[in-house]
Amino acid sequence: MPRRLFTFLAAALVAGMIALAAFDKLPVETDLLAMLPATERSPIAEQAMAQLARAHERRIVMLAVADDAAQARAGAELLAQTLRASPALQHVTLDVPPDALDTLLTTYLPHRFGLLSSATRAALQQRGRDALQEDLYRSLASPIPTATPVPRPLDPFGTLAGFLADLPFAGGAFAPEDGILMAHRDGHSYALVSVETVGSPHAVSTQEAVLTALAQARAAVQAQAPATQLQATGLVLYAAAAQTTAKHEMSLIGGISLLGITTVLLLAFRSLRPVLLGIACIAIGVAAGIAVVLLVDGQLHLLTLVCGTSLLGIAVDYPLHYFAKRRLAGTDWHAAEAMAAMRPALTQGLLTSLLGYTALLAMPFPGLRQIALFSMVGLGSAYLATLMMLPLFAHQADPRSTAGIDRLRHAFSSWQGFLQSRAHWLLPLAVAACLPGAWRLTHNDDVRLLSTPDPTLARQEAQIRELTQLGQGSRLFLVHARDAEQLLQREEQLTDALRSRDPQHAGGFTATSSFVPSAQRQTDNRRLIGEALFGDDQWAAQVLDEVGYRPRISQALTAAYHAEHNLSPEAWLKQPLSTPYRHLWLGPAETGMASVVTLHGNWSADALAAASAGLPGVTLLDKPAAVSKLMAQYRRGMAWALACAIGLSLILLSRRHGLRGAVATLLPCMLAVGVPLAALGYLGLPATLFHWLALMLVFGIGADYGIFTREGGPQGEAALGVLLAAITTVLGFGLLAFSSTPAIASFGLTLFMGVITAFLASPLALAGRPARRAAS
Amino acid sequence: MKRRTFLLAGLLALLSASAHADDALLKEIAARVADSPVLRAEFSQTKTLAAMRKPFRIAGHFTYARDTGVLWQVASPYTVTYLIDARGTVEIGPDGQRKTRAGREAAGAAQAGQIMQALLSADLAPLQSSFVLDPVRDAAGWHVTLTPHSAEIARHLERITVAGNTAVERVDIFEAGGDHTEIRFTAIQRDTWLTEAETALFARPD
Repeated sequence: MPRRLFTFLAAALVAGMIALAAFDKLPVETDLLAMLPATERSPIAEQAMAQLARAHERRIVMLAVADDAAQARAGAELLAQTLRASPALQHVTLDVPPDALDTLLTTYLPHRFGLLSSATRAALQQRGRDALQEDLYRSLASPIPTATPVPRPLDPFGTLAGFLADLPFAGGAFAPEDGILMAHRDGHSYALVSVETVGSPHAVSTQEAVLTALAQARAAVQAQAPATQLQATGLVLYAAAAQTTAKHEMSLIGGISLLGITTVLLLAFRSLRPVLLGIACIAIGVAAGIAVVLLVDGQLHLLTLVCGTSLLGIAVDYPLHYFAKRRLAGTDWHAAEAMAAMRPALTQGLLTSLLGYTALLAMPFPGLRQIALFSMVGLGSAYLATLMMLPLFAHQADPRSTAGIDRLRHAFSSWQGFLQSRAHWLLPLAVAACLPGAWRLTHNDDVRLLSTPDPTLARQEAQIRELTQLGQGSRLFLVHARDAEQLLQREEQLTDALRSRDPQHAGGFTATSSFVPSAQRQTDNRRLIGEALFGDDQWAAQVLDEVGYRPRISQALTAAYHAEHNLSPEAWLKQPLSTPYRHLWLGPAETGMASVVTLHGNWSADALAAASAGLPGVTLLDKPAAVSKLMAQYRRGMAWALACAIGLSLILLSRRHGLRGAVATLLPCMLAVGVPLAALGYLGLPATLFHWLALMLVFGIGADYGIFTREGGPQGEAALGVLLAAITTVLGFGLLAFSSTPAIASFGLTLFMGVITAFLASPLALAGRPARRAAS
Repeated sequence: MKRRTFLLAGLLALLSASAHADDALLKEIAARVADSPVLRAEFSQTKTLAAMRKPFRIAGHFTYARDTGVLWQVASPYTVTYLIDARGTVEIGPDGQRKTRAGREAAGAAQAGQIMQALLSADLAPLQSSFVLDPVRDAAGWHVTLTPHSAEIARHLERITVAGNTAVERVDIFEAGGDHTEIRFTAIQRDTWLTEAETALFARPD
């Protein structure tokens, strides 16, 4: 038999090493939003979101920052040079084509009279030619030397210059300087470099390659332009940071909990064998869970992995009860009989846990389904491993003294006595104490609770966004219309409404109609300007002559006005200038044409809702809000699932224990669910989906404790098993409360409170049973 | 404002200019002009454009407050006031209504304000990042020629000269297309305090 044991352990060791090696290569999904179902019902909306996500998620925007423009420039050049060498990156953009200004002019000059900024248009509507006369003077009188991209004689009233200045070109404070986009603020100079990743930013290989390239770039800059600092923002960086943190925490928390569990088990059993076999049962469960999830979903989510680690907490209970029984049995031990006696408890424990997860499995929530699948397969495998493996490898009796353990048992049985003798008033008191807390419980379903971005990255992003006015990507308007012209008109209705709701210009937006107004708007602009300038009195000629322009200037202007036609969206989309904005124009969709209007800066949800209210064909897509709504739905779903699981368990257990017995058995688990909820209420902490997720696990664990205690016998024979189970679970879960991801921390904290309660309340499961025995 | 942004974002660029040799003279010029906290003058600005058969003239009143900024009050041929300070340019209409540049434009306007303030107060050293500064002492006092560093600015602006003695007396802006703007300051007066009316104009409620 020792030989077989050795072979088995060697195999387990090899499997463990393979698993460890594969850990870095596991396709782990870190995007927490990927766990959520699609939020948008309409396929156009999904298309819009997906198209926009593609435009955003691969981009990395970097700044070289120095006190000195030359240093910033040198840093940016080094940076671009290093990044170009990386095969994981493409479209490394540093240089601005020197003819950018000329392109702007050749695109727009032929349509100048139809193109007015919103301010010029409003001024013309209100004050007519008076407004233009002021603009004429202003362009000549302003004390500030102006380098207009439009030669003054071609645009003496500055209307085209005003339109160009209003174009929502990305870049914010950045302007080309000797071929590089630079900005200057508060004594610092910034040079802009933009990059795209070749692969998906969620792929570990992309993340590693990008981090390597960035590290090389930092090193190169550090060596050759030490006064320059680099800042970067991009989804890939957040994803990489989340991945690193998660893996770091997993190894740290997992490592400490494994060490703690091993120590406790060694102290209790004074033998390595139960420890190794216990770990083997867990390993089999986790490996089976990972394998099935990969088979079904193709990838493993970070949260599944974290919850999976905590599965250790339940899976280890099965072998623990076996070894606890053996340890206490001393020489009077028959493995097969003992296992047979334990099987009902193990089976009931497994079934109640599975009940909870079945309810989760039924929900249309991909992430929760994956966690449920993982847990069910993992627990089932650990259960089978316990049943089949333990009697085989640990069948010999353990004849050593149980003195130390007896002391523990005495302590526990005196607690048991204390609790049982006072249960008739302690229990109502505990319930009464919990009720006000549960009453005060609030909920928070904000999607941002899902993750806390790395603070360094968040700071860099905030600064880069402020300087570059990058769009947000998560909130946008979807506009839908019969044809291109109606689409542009609807965009204009929307952007006019947005402008009127944002007099302080705190927010901005990017719409195709800002670059190419609708034919209707262009024609109307041309009418407005024509009535003022080129009417019967030829006012333009007069006023231009008055300030001193030569006659040929106004003649050329008049001729251009009469020959002009509108700029069409098709023509605009063919311009190289439109390349960065083509993703806004979705083009033909279901029944017509669709486009999106993206937002940047600070917009309140109310302002956006109010601006789009009542506009035909305009929908506000707000991913965070939609996801938050879903989280609320699923949180409620979880609560119902939990209630159902408790009800079903009562029915299941009453077949064996009768209704009163079933209620007694489930008392610890119900308290374990109630106490954390009440505690959250008293602490004023809002409960999230993750608290409920943890309560689901607490329910499974609490039910196990109750079942084992009740099945274990009237004198609390199962107490040692329950005690060890509780210690190992607290070691496993309590540590999760220290995770830097709030979702995982709340998960850990809830489990911590729930498991302690379940353990302390476990003697209550004996209610009814010992009383009868004691009487006899 | 794009036009301004292009020019003026560039103006603050290239913070690495050398010109240490001329630092002493630049400091002296700035010190002479900054001698008094408030400076008032009449100005006349003449724009000579190739597209115009006669120069375009405006005239008005100029107030420089060392700690606040510059007021540029155009009186003819129409009335408008510009308040220029480190935060940007505010246009104040004859009815007292204020127009500020917002959002993206504000950045350009703020830089423009800084540059104009530097030019009009002769505190030119901060502009070294964007221009090669060539200060010269002459019989009347001094003049400084500013030539842009960057190609983008040079496309539009050939050079600026600032001349004066104990105050800036003349600014000449030569655009690349041959257009020329000349600003002359006369009747320069020094003072210690702003008048109440001026203080009200300088106030920025936001």
